[in-house]
Amino acid sequence: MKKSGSIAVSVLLTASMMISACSGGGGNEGGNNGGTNGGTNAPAEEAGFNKEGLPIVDEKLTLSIVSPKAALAPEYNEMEIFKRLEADTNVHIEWNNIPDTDYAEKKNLLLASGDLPDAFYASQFSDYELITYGKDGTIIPLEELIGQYAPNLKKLLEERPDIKAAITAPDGHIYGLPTWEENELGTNPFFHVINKQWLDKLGLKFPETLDEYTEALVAFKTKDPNGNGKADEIPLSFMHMQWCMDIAGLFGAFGLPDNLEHRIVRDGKVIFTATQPEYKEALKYFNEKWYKQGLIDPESFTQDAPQYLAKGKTPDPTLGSYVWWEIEEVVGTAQAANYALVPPLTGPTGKKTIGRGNGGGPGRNAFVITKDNENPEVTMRWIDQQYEPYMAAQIHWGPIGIIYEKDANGKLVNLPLEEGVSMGEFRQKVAPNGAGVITAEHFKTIVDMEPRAQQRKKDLEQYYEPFMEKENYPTIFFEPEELDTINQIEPELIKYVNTQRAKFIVDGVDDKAWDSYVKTVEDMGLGKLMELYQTALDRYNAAQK
Amino acid sequence: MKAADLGVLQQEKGGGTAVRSSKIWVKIRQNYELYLFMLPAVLIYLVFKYYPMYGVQIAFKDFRASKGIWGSEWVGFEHFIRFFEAYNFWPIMENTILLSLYSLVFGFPIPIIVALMLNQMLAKRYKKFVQTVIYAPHFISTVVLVGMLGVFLSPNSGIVNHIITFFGGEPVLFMASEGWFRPLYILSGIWQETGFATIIYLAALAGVNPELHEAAVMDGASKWKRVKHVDVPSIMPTIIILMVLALGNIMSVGFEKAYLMQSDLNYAASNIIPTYVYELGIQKAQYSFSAAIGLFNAIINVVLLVTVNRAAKKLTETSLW
Amino acid sequence: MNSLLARKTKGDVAFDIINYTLLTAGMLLILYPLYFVLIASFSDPNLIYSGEIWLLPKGLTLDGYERIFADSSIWVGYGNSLVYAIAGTAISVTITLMAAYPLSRKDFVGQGAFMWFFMFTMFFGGGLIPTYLLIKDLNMINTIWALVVPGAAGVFNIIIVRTFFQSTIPDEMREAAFIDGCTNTRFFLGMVLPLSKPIIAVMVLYHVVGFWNGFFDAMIYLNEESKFPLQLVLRNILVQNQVNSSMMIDVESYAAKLRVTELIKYGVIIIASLPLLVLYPFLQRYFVKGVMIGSIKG
Repeated sequence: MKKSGSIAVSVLLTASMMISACSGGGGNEGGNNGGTNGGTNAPAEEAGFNKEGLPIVDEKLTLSIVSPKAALAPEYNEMEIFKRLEADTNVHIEWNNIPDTDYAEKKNLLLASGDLPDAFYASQFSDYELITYGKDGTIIPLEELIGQYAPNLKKLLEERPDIKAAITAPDGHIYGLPTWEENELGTNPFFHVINKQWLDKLGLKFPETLDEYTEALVAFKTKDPNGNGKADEIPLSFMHMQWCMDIAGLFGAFGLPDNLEHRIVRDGKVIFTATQPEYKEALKYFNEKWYKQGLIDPESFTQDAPQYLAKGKTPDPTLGSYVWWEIEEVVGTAQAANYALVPPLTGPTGKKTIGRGNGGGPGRNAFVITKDNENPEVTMRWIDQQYEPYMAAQIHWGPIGIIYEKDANGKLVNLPLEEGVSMGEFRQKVAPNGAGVITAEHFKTIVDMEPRAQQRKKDLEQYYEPFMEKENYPTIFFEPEELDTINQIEPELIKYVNTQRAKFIVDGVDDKAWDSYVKTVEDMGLGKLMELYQTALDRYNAAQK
Repeated sequence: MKAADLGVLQQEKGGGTAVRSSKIWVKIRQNYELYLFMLPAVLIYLVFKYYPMYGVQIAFKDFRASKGIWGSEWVGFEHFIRFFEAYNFWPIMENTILLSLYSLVFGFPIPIIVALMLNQMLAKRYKKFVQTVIYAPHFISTVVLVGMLGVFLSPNSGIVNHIITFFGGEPVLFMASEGWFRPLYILSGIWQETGFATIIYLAALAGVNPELHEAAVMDGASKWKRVKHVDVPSIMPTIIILMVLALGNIMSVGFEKAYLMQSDLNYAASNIIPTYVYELGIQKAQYSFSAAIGLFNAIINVVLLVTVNRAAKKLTETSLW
Repeated sequence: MNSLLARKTKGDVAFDIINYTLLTAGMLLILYPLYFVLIASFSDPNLIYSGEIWLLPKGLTLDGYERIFADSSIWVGYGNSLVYAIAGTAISVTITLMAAYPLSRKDFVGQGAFMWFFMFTMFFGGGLIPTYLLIKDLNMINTIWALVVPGAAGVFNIIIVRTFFQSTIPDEMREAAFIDGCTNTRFFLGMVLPLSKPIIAVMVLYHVVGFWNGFFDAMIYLNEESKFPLQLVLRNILVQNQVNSSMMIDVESYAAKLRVTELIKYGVIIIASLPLLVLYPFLQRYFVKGVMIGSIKG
């Protein structure tokens, strides 16, 4: 079928797959096409480069920069904040805005073929790419340029040595600039929500233990809490192993929290959760008490986000319990008041804990400069503007006059949104969110956290933080050899573990299946992988002291 | 020109007096225009297909962007070995081949049958209407197609499961089931592509000489007989060529639909070569590894194509070359 | 001729009944999901997922269409696609027909070699990077030529057309024409092409559809949004990136894009495929059987 229409779209997709699959390597002439990219014109001196103050250059100078762009955003030259930046600096940017859906593929192609711009903005370079492209000279080390031409950034790194440590590669160079909102919103991505109105209606107390929670789910299923006479209630729905939508948060009731990496840290020791007895007990419980009784929405393992989000918005409410970043997005504004967050539950053996999300800390790939850039000083001065705290806030959330106004204390406060405009959508249109760091300090003095973020922070403090694990696996800058090993072992291993997790929840865990599962995971190189993570963590901790 | 004509006549009559090689030259000179016809296509292929072929070598190299294609280090068969030694190499191969083969077995004959049936329809406007309707699904994008599968087949709210439960059955978890992955993939493919695939057979049927049909009617042949003895033989060359090409593409399964339909519960059936490659990181730019797998697929495809084409030549006298 | 073919035996009547019944049943099966797309495009997206929408649209809304019509990038894409499809089809179909004809001739010396020359590229290619470098060196990046030239005259199409020529242009016809002093060019233009309307129609359709639905080359070779074809514009709106922890700061933006996607996804299918649905009936008449040989032979 598919095969008989060679240029049918489906086949085009195949073809594109095959083309990528047969992908050849990059320019043998690697570096000889500098300057063909347009943009890089007169060297800085001729353009009247100013080491300090604005404009950066007296005569207009053009840089070519590649950047991903959200589908709903305009091209960056149309964005108010960049217009202002150009007016201030006299630096014109020739943006190559690649839609974010295709950015990874196209970025790889540009790099592999040596077709380099002056810089990548919001570069999405992985650590592996930073260090390999840094080592082979495709992108240049930035620490000296920062010292000379980036006063804002320099100040930040001096005040916050932790940020400097986080963005410095193992070889001592800085290849990518930081971006960060230090608001600690991601420590527990899994907000577990229950329909409180139903609990009240059925005369149930708010669950504090896992068994009470289970009882509530059973009642949701059997007692028709929405009162429409149909057994259409979905006691619990989630999205298996998807970020901020999984039940990983509930594993803590068995003594050992889980997360999407299945990797936690206790007393400085790295633990792979998915082969531990607590994990097995949890899966047994979820299978026997929940899945077999029909309490888990079977679509939890297959649905995509739109399907999931729609479940909270049926004409008669049907959703008993779910997991998301916050309450409102799933059930809508009207219903949100009927739902409440579930704090960590006490498990059958009396344990109660919740995981602390791995990573966190600043991103280190906000901006990279390539070797073909003839004006690195100008480029550094241009990007440094975005590390001035007020500018950083505007880059992240939107410009003054559109999103913010300055209050009497000089703090940026949110302007009311126009009726019917969604914040999430509007922000994509006005804020590139590519670079800049907003520290916890800045959230006190420079910029207001937006209302929903404030709410989330309060919820985290109230419901989850008291029971949260003390340690997590930090964002470590690995050695390239370590990254090689991780890339070789981890994707397949995690995929296998996740498929088995789904199977165990649905089909149950017997000892034989469990033992063979553990053995397979070990054969796939779990030992080597964990050893590596441990070594890296020890090194990291030693460096912190 | 006259001399050339004579040459052709001689040759057509089997006049064997001329020396062989000079006969070939006569033919080439006679048909020099045909070579000019070929020229644009040949040029495009030389420039855009053959010239870039030096890229194939990265399958045997450890491609690094900074070193370029020529400068990267040779690693021999390392990438192939890594693929063969993957813990799930055999399941992946099996899934890929079965999915492709079943699609072919069930998907290939249907457009032919539909084309023959449409061709026998005399109500012209109705025929056009049917044709247009079955052609339309081709334009539904894969993302939406898979989304619709989710809506129709949902165990909670899908129409299919409503029907099943109405007749007293238990809801079926179609999208989460290993066993249902292939049937769903193939059936949705048939739904989407049948109409579009019929077009080529309809065109071939339009080329059937009406005199053949008239003669058959004179002989008192029924419709069924005419389909069997006139229509089918006339489109046989098209069928065989498409069959050969399809078999020579057996390893080239589409990525997007399988990827979108994949879940942790049907993974054992839905993990095929393209999704596997994707997972291991086209995103991470493992160009060499992907190239090696591409080459591996191509070799299987070529071997199949050559074999099938030879068989076709022997059995039916229709073949690609 | 028609009256002759319309003569029916008892068996023929049964044949017709079965034929019409089966085709109609099959068509209805195919039609329902299409109808669903139509009503879904007018419905509240949340109700679609809750299984409320079967026969009639519910939560009637034109929000989706309003959004599509207000989005200028979609219309720019529409125009671009039109240009690419027309130019690409004209170039590629011409070259395909010209290449396929010699290959269909038994007396064409080197037929086998040329077939292999084309077929080889079906399986082996240099891949994306060398091709990209080539296109760049030819200064074709960010131009229409990168979309319409490199992929022109696909092997598959050449083979299809060749097969059609082989089975519909009788050798005797050519011999007769050549005795009359006809050249290859005149024979091709004057006899072969008029006899090949069905396959030309198919080629035009395949190409228009292919260019219309294609996005990959545009994604690779075009840099400016103002040059993007429709499908690339739509893809960027409809395809979701996987969420992961690195984008945790932006759950709201993610959810916002989901809402937009859900709102317009059925509507854009209708808007985007309309030109092709309109085109089809025009080409269909070339598939009507018996257009040709009889009339020319006489």
